[in-house]
Amino acid sequence: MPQLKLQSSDGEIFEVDVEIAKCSFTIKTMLEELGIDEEDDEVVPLPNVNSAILEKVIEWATYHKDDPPPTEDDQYKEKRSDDICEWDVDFLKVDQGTLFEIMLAANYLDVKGLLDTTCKTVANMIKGKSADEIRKTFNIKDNFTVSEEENVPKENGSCEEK
Amino acid sequence: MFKTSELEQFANKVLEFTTRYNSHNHVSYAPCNLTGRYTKYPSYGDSPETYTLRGYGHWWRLSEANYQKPYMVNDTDALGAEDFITVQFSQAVAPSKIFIYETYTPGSVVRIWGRRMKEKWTRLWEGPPQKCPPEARKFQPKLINVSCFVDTIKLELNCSELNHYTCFDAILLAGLTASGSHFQRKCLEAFGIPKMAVVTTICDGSESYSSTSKRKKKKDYFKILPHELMIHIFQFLDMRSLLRCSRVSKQWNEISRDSLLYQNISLKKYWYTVDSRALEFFQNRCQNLKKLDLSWCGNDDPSFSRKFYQFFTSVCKSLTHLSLGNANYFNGSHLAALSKCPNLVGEFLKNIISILVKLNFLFSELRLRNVSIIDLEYCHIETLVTKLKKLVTLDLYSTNITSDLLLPLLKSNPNLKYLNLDFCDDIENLDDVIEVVVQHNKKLTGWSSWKARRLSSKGVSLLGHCYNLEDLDLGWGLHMSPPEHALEKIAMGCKGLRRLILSGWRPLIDSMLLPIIENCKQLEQLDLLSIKGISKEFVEKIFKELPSLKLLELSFCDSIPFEKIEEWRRLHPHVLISRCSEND
Repeated sequence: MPQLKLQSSDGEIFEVDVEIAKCSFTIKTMLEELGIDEEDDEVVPLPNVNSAILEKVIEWATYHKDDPPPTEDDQYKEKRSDDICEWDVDFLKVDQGTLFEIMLAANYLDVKGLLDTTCKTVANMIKGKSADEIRKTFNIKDNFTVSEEENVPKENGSCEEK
Repeated sequence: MFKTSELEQFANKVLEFTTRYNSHNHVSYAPCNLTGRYTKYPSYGDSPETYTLRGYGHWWRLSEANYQKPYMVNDTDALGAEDFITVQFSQAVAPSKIFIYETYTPGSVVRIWGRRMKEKWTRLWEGPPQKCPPEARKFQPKLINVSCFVDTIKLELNCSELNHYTCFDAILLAGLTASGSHFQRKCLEAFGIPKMAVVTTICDGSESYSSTSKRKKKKDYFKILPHELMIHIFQFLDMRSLLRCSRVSKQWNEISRDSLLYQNISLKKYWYTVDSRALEFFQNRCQNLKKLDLSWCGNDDPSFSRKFYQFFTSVCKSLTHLSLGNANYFNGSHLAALSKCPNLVGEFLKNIISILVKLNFLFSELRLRNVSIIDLEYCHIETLVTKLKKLVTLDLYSTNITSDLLLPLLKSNPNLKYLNLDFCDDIENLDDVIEVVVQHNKKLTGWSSWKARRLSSKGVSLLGHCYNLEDLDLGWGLHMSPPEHALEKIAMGCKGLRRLILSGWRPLIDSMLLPIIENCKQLEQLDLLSIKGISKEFVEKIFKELPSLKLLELSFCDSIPFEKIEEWRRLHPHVLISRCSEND
């Protein structure tokens, strides 16, 4: 299996199977456009991802290497968050900082499956909580009051409770 | 001084319901049988003197002509309520207990609501559907303590766990009655009745990560997320959570208003709370709206119809799916009530058609179950027909649609796949409808006309030209006249049939049904309810000829002894053999 070298922002070099690296649509496109020969000893620089996060991304991609590729009509797909696979749930039992950094890396590297699974995880952390509980969970400083006309309809007056 | 006393009473009037077994003018199995004292309890079994629902089990969901796939998959009802019935009692009481008498296949009640007059609905109980033994049940849910008086009860039902249709005999409401003035009743509400318990909220029980991050420095990571990532996260939220997000911070509020998050909206689950104010709230956000389900909503708010018109006009340009089940605000009496109120612009909303003509060219699913279609004007039909050309699903269950409107619609929609005309009594002649369908709707996959009248064997034969039919519900369609060779035509033409409902085709005998089981090898569901001319030898042939069979309805097939049914259940465990009859 041909290998590819990825360099994290803090200079660490990771050697990964090309097929695994290609689950990043960004890397896949780059390899195709630049025509980097897999025999070359080139190093792909990833200035936006540090080594700790890159390691996590590679771990995820290795586990999911045999997943079917995302389809074209993905945007029409059903938006549900109760279908995160067990392995991912375990994989994402990390502190919030790491979780958000993995999400940002997945976005930057365009790893669709990882982006979805991290976003779903955060969505599940939001679900069922009151505005106040959400602020506590995510350390959001509240300097905000909803203006009168923007006021969300109340419970027994709408879907939201007081 | 006011007096209080404990009162027990049975329902005296049915106000509204989503489904029934029999036509409007029949008293057997009708919703009104739910009123008054129980008549069957504690005996168990199918009985025409009860209120009977038709759908049961997961079978119902396999029929797209009947079952609407959820428009918003991340916001479906956790308890799966798909039907409701609302009943009224003569006196308002502070509810202490409710008894529901279920005399056949109990277990479907998932929520109970109460209110007095036109006041707000209060949740009195909720719980998942239950598996019950086959015996009559006096269901006594443990009510939430509430401080209000109720004279109206709404039951939300989920029949998907049942293994046959269900029958309700009666509902009893008991509680303290106050015989004083309105003021005194208010005093009692304020002091005399225990305060309302904590209202349950929908919570998925997901774990909070905040505990694990305590060691780290607290930081608001959302500040570093680009907008599109936040929208990506918010897309996975249900409506209740999304609205809560809008109150978290300025950043969250801004993002929670993005119209990308309001493309598919299903508010049926929140029916008790969706009023004209809610529509106003959604109007600005729904500029990319594609699927809209407002079933069950808006009937309590007199200004809803006017607001709906504005809302709809503003959001319909990109709409592809619309479901307005039980939208009473279109019907004549409701409008009459409105017109007495000079502030309301009643003329805006002449009828549902004047709304529909605003739809766009891409519109593909229209479900108007139990909606009154009134004041038809021909210019509207013409506009509608020129607009609606991409319909795939047309569900007109229990509407008063007439051939004048239906036929031009069918002619202009070559892509139509699912058509539901159950209980459509105002269609002059169903044979004519079939003639048009055969010519113009060649892709038709599902046809449902349960209890729809004016069908002859000629019309049924014509359906044999719908070569793509997989789901065919003709229940009670030919219960008088003999089907002659009609089924033979269907057998030769519709070889892909998977579901065939022939309930109540009383003149049917073995030989007429034979072509079906010889040709339609993919049949999974076969309903022969109340066909007395079917022999046990023939049923044995059915098992032999139909390898994919999963559901066989044989209730009231009197020539088949119950011992045989039991024997077949043992021999064919993969087939659900439904049977109930008064004699069993």
